[in-house]
Amino acid sequence: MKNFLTVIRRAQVFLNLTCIIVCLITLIPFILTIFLSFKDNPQFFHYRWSLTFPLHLENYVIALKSIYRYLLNTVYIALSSTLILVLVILPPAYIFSLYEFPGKRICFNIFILLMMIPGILSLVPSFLLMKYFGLINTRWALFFPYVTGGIPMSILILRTYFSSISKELYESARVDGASDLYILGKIYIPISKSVVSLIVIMRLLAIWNDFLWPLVVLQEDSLRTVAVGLYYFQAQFAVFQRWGPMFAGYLLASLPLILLFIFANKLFIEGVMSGAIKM
Amino acid sequence: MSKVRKNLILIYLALLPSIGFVLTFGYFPPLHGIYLSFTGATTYASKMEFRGFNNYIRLLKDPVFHRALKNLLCIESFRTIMYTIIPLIVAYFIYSIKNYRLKGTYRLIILVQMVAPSIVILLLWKFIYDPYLGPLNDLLKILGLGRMQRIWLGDPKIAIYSIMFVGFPFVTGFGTMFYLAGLENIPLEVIEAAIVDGASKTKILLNVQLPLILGQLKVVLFLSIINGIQSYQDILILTGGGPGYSTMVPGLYMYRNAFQYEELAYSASISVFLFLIILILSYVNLKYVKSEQT
Repeated sequence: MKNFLTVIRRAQVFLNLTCIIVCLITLIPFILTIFLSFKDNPQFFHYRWSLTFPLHLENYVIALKSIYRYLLNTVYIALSSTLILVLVILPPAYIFSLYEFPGKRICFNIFILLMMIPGILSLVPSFLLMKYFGLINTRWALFFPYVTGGIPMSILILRTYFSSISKELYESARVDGASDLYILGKIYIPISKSVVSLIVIMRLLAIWNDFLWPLVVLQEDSLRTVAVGLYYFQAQFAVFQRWGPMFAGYLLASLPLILLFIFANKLFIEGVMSGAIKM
Repeated sequence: MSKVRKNLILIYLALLPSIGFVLTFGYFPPLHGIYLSFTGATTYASKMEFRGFNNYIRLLKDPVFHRALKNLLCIESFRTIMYTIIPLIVAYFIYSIKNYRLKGTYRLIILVQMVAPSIVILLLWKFIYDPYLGPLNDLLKILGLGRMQRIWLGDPKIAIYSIMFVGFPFVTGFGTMFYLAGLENIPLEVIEAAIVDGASKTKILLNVQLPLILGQLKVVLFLSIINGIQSYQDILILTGGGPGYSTMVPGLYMYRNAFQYEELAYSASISVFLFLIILILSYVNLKYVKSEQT
């Protein structure tokens, strides 16, 4: 018995060691970035692997001056298109889960089949469409595709969740004379708060990370989103050897997502783990 | 009767905005793209004469495209294996750890990296590979392996391997959490029954746990293949396909043709080609892989 226990203990030590190494390897780039973001150039050229003093906090001010506009642009477009997305998908998800009507299957399949079309097929012709509408170099060029891009997955997730809500709830509210709008707003949405926030978070992450589409449709610097802005910011700061501010900029660009993560960590893990997303 | 009709109209009205979005911005562009691939259109002048399969014939003869396909196969077969297997191993390790608090910490750290914007990660990798200032060459020097220092992204023989290792150690937040959820959803009774029957840990892993999370494994595998075929953002940022064509991939070649060489129709044919590959893979996945689950 004692032998058995030591074997288990030894296994646990091995497992923990491996996990610690994996975690360290994932964390080291971020820790180094934090160190580097506080350095001036002499510190950067001579001591890249440790924290050096004095800390140059002004790096963050310089970086913020260069990227705050990109941050605001991204927040603006991410929030507005996600808000519209949620408004647009709530009624269909509700209808699909409760009502039968001619053409239901076709309508539903129109949404679901869109997921089969890979982004690579749409990139160039979408650009042409935007050009045709005269929307290149405007925020609309981001807005429409971002709303559309979220529709299929969100409707699928939300409909699945709405269908799992007991129908008796709907029926008794109906008997009490409640309208559909009331039932959706006062019963269905509050119940599915965690799934709706999961959808919102997934969309915000996707939009925040999108690089290729804004790179293609926005040439004007004042409209750029953070991913593209950072790309140009990096090139510019590397040329002028402003290394500290460059890394400070990377951290500032990650900050909103980190805040979102801290804020919605529980909801997100709950949503992912609950199996709301089934393939 | 009229009330039913009124309800129907309301239903269709409620569906209209989302369907409008999906048809205009979701379905029209790809169909237009397929059409374009049969024409002689350039990016800034729309010469729409019909060219039949000319673009596709040119594509099949294009040595750059051959090179790109070969690179894609090299890079993505390696990455797909890594992104499918390593998160599984890490998830199994975390799952097996008994200390509840340590388990939570590991999970949090692996999840947290999801939050860093992908552009930041890629720019950091670009810095890591920097020949003069990058941590990789620094580290080699510190370890006394100065002879192994390389111009990681600038050497045509090495660049493709450097690209493969972007993302090391390949422990993705999504994959690991997905596997972990699968493992934790296995009822404890099943495993206890196996223990009572005298099965060893390896036997339980191979005969009980692995079959039960095969579904997750297939999803991760399929998603990384599909994403891999389309991905070129990392290569665009890190090497731009160079040096020469040593890290060119089809997606990037499509991008260059559309926005730099102004070969619109040709670029459309590349994207249709990739779409067909993805379609075939999806079909195989639906028909043969998914059905085994039930």
